[in-house]
Amino acid sequence: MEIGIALVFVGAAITAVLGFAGSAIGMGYAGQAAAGVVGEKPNLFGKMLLMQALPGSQGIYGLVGAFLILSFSGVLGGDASLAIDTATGMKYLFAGLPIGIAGLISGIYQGIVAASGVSLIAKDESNMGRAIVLSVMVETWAIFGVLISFILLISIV
Amino acid sequence: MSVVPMQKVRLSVYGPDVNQALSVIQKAGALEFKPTEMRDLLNPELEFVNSDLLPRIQHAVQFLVPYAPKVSLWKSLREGTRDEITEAELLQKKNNIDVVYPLVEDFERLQVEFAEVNEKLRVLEEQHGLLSVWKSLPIKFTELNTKLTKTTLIQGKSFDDNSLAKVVEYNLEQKDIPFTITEVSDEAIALTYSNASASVSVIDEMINSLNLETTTLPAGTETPEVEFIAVSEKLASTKGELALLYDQAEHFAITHLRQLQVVGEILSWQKDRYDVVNNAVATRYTVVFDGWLNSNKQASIEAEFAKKDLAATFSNLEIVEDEQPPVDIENNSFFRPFEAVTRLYGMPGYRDLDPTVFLAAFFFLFFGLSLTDVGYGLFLMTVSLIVLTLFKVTEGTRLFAKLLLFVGFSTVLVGALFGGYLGIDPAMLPDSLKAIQLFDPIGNPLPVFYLALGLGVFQVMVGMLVKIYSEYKQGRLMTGVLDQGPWFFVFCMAVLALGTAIDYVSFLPMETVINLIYVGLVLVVLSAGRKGDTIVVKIKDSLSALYDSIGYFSDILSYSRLLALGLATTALAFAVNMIAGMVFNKESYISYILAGLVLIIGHMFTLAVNTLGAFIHSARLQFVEFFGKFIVGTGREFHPLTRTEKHITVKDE
Repeated sequence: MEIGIALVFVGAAITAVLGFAGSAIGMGYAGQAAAGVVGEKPNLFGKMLLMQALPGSQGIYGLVGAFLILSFSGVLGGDASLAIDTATGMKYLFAGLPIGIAGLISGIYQGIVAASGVSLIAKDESNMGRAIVLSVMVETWAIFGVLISFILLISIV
Repeated sequence: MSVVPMQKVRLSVYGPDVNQALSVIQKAGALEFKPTEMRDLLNPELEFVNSDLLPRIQHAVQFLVPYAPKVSLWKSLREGTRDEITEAELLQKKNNIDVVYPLVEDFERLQVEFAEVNEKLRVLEEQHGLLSVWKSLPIKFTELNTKLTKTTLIQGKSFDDNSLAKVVEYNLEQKDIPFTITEVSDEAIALTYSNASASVSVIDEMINSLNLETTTLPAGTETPEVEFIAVSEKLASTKGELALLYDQAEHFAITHLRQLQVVGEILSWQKDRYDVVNNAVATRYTVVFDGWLNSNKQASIEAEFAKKDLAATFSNLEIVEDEQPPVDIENNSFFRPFEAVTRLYGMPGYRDLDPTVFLAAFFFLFFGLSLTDVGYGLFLMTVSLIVLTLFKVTEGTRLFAKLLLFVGFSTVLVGALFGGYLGIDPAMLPDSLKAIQLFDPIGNPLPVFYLALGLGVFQVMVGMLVKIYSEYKQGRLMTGVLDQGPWFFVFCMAVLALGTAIDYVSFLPMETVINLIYVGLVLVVLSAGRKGDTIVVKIKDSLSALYDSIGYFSDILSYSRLLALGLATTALAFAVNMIAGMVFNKESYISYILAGLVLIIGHMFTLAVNTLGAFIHSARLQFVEFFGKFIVGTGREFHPLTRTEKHITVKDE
């Protein structure tokens, strides 16, 4: 396998795994808080599930990013004659980093905010909308990561 | 298809009619009570006459439920868990509540017997355990203590492979006191010694220093072995008594539990009515309640008052400043299943639009895009059709099943367009199915990515239009148009620019379209700046309006999750098939079973995980990216006085 293609693989893997890790940690924080609330108020399970799911977006963006890298690079088509030089491979690798790193960090912090939002909802159910908005503000940076990665990917000639 | 109109009302009821009037209101489930705002008046002196009976029934029900015969899940789903009764039957049951008094008294007698037998059993089991240790001791109970000797029963662990008897003997040999040891086991001995005070103190000191335990046997006259046999017999007999009581409890549960549950439920409704009275005030002849009334039901409640000849009347109250009415939503039967999504978020503000109608189509489509598999969609539809046609379930479950039916259908449609058939390689599909496939999400995900973003743009634009409509409903059409119109124009032009760039449309030259986008942005700035009082505030508002573009960007990119969720379903289903293929071997019959198990368990797991993900993320796109465009406030949910039906449901006559 050429080094260029290997770098594309590394780029896709890093993009996905960093996003997954951010979501896993973030959902863990939110889930811990949610479980405490559900113990006291089982009727809030639906709302708590949604709050726990919010930091899951970064993992999804990581998955999207990995697919985009594989698709843009031509690896996904399974073309046996595909050739990618090292410099281009490096470009694909770096293009995935905004999604991956922004996903990792924002996933963790979104989880922390979601956990606080869980307490907000536990005090008053009608705070659901506010709790979601506060948590989603953190996710904005993961979305910008997606945007920059996408721009970088379409810029690779 | 809207937020239900609420009216702040005062209900005045002639004292003797209070219970009946509240019963009418409770049946309608249309009035949320609040403390009556009338000073200098006292609370009505109305007492819940069955206040002593209700907790006794609730206790009996709680006690008897474990003894009730188990009903199979299939039977409870087929027949339901609630008895259907008419209003006339309900009235009859209300009038015959006294018949449960003897039942409750019988139950309480049974419970006392239970407590006595259980206590007796506890004591006997304790004695049995104690005597079983000492049953080989050849000394009668009456001979343990005589005029000259005393026998202490000692227990303790053996030390360094020496039995307890040897250890005690070694310690006492140097003390120069007479003693005899009867060894029962390595860890239990009977020590007999002179009951002279000197001996007693030596023995006590030895027991303390070796950290041993002394035992007192239960009262008796014979040897422990004889007493052990006697206690064993008593224990067996008491267990028999307890088994008899269990039988009685089971019989009681079979014959009377349902009746107690029904009466308990009727009484709890009654109690809810009397609880409401605590927030009311009374004049000499009337009781006055304040609350929020579902205006749509006012006429029918008043008609019912008239029909029953009740002296009860509503008068409207002014809403004071900053007072927020509670919120309820009402939709027709087609859209009602989607209320579950709205209710998961919470109620919109009282003056907002009910988002249910607007989200329904998007939720339908997004769920399908997130699951993208014909097989899974058909499974969801089959399950929901079974629930809807064969099972007798609560209204809430029926609505959820209908929602599942809708989104299952959407999954089938989208799955067919995406070539998703339980993760089967599209190349292996028949030509007829290949012909309807429009997207190949695994081989070429970019078109799906653009489709997801396109749907995002569309939903955001719909959100802007809904906001304009919402403002129009509140008499602020111009505000809505000026706030949303420029951005809507920019979005339209951006879509046109994209269409022109890919040669899909050619209404206007590209340069003109770009110029129109700039015009739109200027309109955004001018429109946002119109509200400020000073030039500084106007500039600040204008700049912050441009900053909204970042929000729109992030909203639209968020829809890329639709691609990822759909891909995740396809990839997982494909992986399950691959594992089953690895297990499968044509020449081994066991491999048929193993591969079948892998397929069933694997696909059920994939379906469960991805259905949950599809639901949550489709809902999230509504809550975050869509609702934010037109929902301003968060409403307090309407909690009317209503019948909470667990064991009975009252049919409409």
